Amino acid sequence: MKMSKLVLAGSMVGMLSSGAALAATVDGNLGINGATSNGTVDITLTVPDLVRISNLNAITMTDNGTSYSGTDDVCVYRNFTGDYTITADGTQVPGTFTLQDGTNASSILYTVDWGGAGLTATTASAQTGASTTSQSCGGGTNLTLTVDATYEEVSGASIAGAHTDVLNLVVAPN
Amino acid sequence: MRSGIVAKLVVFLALLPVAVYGRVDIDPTAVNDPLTWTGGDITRVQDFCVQSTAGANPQNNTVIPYAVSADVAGTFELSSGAGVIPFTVQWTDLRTGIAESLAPGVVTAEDKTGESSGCPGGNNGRLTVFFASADLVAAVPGVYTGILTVEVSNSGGGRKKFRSRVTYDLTVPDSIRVTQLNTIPLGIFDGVNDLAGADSLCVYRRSGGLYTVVLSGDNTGGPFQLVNGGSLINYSVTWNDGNGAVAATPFAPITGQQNAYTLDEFCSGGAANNATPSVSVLANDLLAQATASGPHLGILRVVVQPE
Repeated sequence: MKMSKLVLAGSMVGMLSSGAALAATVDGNLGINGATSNGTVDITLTVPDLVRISNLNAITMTDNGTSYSGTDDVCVYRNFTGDYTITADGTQVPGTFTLQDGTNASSILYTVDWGGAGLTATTASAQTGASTTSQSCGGGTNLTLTVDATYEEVSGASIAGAHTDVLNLVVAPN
Repeated sequence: MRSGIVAKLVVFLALLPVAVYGRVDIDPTAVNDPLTWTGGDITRVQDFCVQSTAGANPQNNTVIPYAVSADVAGTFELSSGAGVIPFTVQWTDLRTGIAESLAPGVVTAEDKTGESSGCPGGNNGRLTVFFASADLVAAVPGVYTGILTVEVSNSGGGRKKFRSRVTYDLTVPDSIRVTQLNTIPLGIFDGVNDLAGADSLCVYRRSGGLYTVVLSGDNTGGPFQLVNGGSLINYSVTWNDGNGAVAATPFAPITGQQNAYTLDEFCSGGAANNATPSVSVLANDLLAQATASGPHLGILRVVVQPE
C-alpha cells in the first residue's frame, strides 16, 4: 500500500502575524458629479514550507547472501529548496530499529539507510535533493530506503517466524 | 390772511413724519449665492451692515441695538421638485462676537450691536448658514433653491424693519461610493486545495443608477497577483452585483452593474451590502509560481463610476 503525507511546516500563527505588512483595506472616496470612487482590498495568503514523503510501500526483507535486506523507492518533496531533514524511528521498540515477533519475545535489530546515508533512530539527518516541482515526483521516486539485518542479528532471534516493525519516517523542511 | 395761515398749517403737518431720522437698515439687500455640493458639510457666510439708530436724531448717529429674524417662508429649507434640504442659521454680532442660533421667523432679542449709517466701523452682522453632510447625502440629486429673508428691526422710533434677501441655489450632484471593504484572507495553503475568498461590500449611488466597476491589482500593469518579494502568485477575480458573477480582467470595465444602494454610503452599516468581489488561487498555480514561503499580499483596487 502506498502511503504519503504532506506536512505544513512552521508556526502558522507566527507566519500569519510576522509577514509583510498589510497595505490597509480602505473604503473609497465619495465620487461626486461623475467622479469615481476608489477603494482597495487587501488579499492575504500564506505559503508555508511544504514537505511530503510519498510512494511508501511495505518492505519484505529477504536473504541477499550476506544479510537480510529490503528496499523501497520513495519520493520526497520539499517546495522551493529541496533541503530537508529525515528522522526515522521504530515502533516496536521506540528509539531503536527493532523487528519483533508477534509475542514481542524475539527481537532482531536492523539498520536503516536513506539514499546512502545511515540513519540513527530519532536523530534528524540533513538531506538535499528533494523534488521541488512535484509532490509526487512526477509519478516516480527520487530516493531509495534500505533496511538491513545482519545474519548475526537474524540468527540471534529466539523464535522462528515473522518479525515486523513499523518504521516511522518524518521529513521536515531544512 | 386766513387762507395763508391754513396753508402753513398743512405744510407743518406734512413735514412732521420726516422729522424723525432714526431708522434700521441692512446692506446688502439682495445676495445670490449659487453653490455646488462637493462633499462634507457646507457653511456659507454673509456679512451685513446693519444700521440701527434712534429717532429724532438728524445725524443718524445715535446707535441703538437691533433684533434679527430669518426664514424661507417659515422654514429653514431649500427645496426642489424632489424634496427639501434643511439648514441651520446663525447670526453673529461682529462687535461682541456673540453668535446666536435662529429659529425660522422668530425675532431675537433687540440686543445686537447696531451701527450708524454706512457702518463706518465695518460690517457688524454675520449670517451663517450650515448644511449638514448627512442631509446632503440624503438629498435626491438636483438643484435646491430658497430665498432666505433676513429682517432686522429696532424700536428706535424711525423705520422699524428692513429686509435683505439671500438667494441660495444649491446643486446636489449625483454621487457614488464604494465602502465596507474588508481584507480577504485566503488563509494558509495546505499544499493541495485551491484557495478562495470574498468580501461583501457596499456600492452606493445616490440616484440608484447603473455603475461601472474596474478592478485591478496594485503591481505595474495591474495584474491580479499576490506578492512576497520576488515570489508572485496569480489570482483570479469575479464581481457579482447580485445578478451573477462576472469574471474580471485588470482594468477592463465591467459595465451595467445594478443594485446600487441609495439611502446611505455604507449600506446601513453593511446590512444591505450589495456587491461581492471574489478571489481564488489555484493550487497548481501556487505550487508552480511561488518561490518563497511566507505571507503573500495582493491589493485589489476597486473603482466604481456612475454610468
